Amino acid sequence: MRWLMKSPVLLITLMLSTALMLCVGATEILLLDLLMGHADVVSQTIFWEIRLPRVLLSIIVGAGVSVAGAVIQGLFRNPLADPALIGVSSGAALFAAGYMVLDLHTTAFGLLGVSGSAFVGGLLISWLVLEIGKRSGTVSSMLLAGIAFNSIAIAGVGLFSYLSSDLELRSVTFWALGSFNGADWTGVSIALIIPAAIVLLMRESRNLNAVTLGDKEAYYLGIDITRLRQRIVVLTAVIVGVGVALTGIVAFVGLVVPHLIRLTSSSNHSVVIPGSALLGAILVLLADGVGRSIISPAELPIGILTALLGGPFFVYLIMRQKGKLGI
Amino acid sequence: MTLKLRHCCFSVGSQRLLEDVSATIPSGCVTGILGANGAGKTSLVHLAAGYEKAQSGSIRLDAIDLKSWSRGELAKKIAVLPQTATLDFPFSVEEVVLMGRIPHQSDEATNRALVAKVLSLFSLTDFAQRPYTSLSGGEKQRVQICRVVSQVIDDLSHAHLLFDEPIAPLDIAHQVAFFRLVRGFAAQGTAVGLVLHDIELACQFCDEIILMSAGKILGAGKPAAVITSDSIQQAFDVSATVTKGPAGAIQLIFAD
Repeated sequence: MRWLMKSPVLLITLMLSTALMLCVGATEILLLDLLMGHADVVSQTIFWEIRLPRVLLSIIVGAGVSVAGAVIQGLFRNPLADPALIGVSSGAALFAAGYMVLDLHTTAFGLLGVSGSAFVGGLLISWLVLEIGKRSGTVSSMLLAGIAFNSIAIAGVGLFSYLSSDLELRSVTFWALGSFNGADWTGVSIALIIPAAIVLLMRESRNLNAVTLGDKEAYYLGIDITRLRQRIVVLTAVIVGVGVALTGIVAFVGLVVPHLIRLTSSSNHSVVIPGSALLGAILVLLADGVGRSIISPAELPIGILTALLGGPFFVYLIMRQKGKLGI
Repeated sequence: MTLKLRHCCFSVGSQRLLEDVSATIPSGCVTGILGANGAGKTSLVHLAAGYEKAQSGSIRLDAIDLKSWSRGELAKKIAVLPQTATLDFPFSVEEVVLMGRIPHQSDEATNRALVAKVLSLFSLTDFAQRPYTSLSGGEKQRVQICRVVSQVIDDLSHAHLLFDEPIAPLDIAHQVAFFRLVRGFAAQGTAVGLVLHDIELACQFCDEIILMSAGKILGAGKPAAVITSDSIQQAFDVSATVTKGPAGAIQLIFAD
């Protein structure tokens, strides 16, 4: 937080971006008119029922996926790890889609809800990837296993979408490319668990720094690696599960944003986590704004924009990692 | 504070790595741990620092069973440099060394002052803000050594420093500087354990030597008593004549 006080650029940028994105869209709304009470009823309804929840959700989810990426990279000690890349997000999407398609809300699983199911899916894939990593002992096999799980889960989502008679569920693009189109106040209230998880993850900054040195090194620094890993995986699965259930998969943000913070500020997780939260919120907020304005009144799925930004950056990272991964 | 292992056995799966090992790493002393590859040196360090658990025997720190120490308290007393350190994130050198302060509750200003002190000891003050990933192998090793030292720098008289092959990536000047520094720590009461491969340097700079072979202790004591032609033959399976150089330093002359 001390870093945030010293470098308020991201905070100010987020505030300005928020103000801008509240105005931009198929219907332009002037904040000043709204505040002065000069806005008409339609504009007020759009602002309070559509625009504001959408902006808030994109800020929360953008912050969440970026922080999830930052901590997963730290935990896996690899800058190429990202929940969307190693199957955590698609695992969450698979379980969320399965919950809806299989009508699980009428069964004992109904208590989980869509978000709870997505959390279980994300948790399961995280656990599987970590187990494989523990057994094989190499990060590269862990990443490759994650990529395989990702493909399997995406195929599962595709199958569910194909089998579903529900038109909304048949939209594979929602899961694969993400969308804030359905944002409402219920979604925002569910998403509030994400900032809570981010706060808990910030408390693990020092431990995550130690883990980047290696398991043995972290042990010798007095850290219980097993318990730390459990805490990180559960909190990440909460963020990714809730995020995916509400907005689908927003890819590459979790990969790119922590790198940008590391490149421009520090690798210290007490900087990387809050920095990623702010920058991720800004990028997703702006990407969503562009997505809903560029071909207005139609919308471009946010995942297309984030992939266009993140894909080339990922290739750049692979080139930089050449020879280190042993792949 | 002395670290004592008594009749320790340690296996991984069906492979016995340590067999009835008894060893002492006393305070105020630099103890060299020597032996061929796979002799059990690293396993001994892992056991002594609590990372691995012995199937039998006891390990005591300051006469208290290691199992009775909490992990956090142990980290304030024993600092270990494992054999290989990989760090792929561009932390600054200062940030890496600050990680050594993780077990302590001291405030950031105190930690930074201690880290600055350690960096100056190892002539790394000018490196403080450089990214760790941009350093050479030897420089990285010096930074890792600093990190480990910073873990116990505020209470050297009650500390244990265990280094697993610390000098391998260092040039001769930095090797000698390293030995002088750890001897200085030992003079303040620190128990220093060094896994080494250079027998002559070990004999010159260590007060005690533990010679290992096939998971057992072959000999322990003063260098001149432990390092003999016979023990070298037994431990390393090579013929060497052990002589004393001009300044009394032990020299090994290997047969053609």
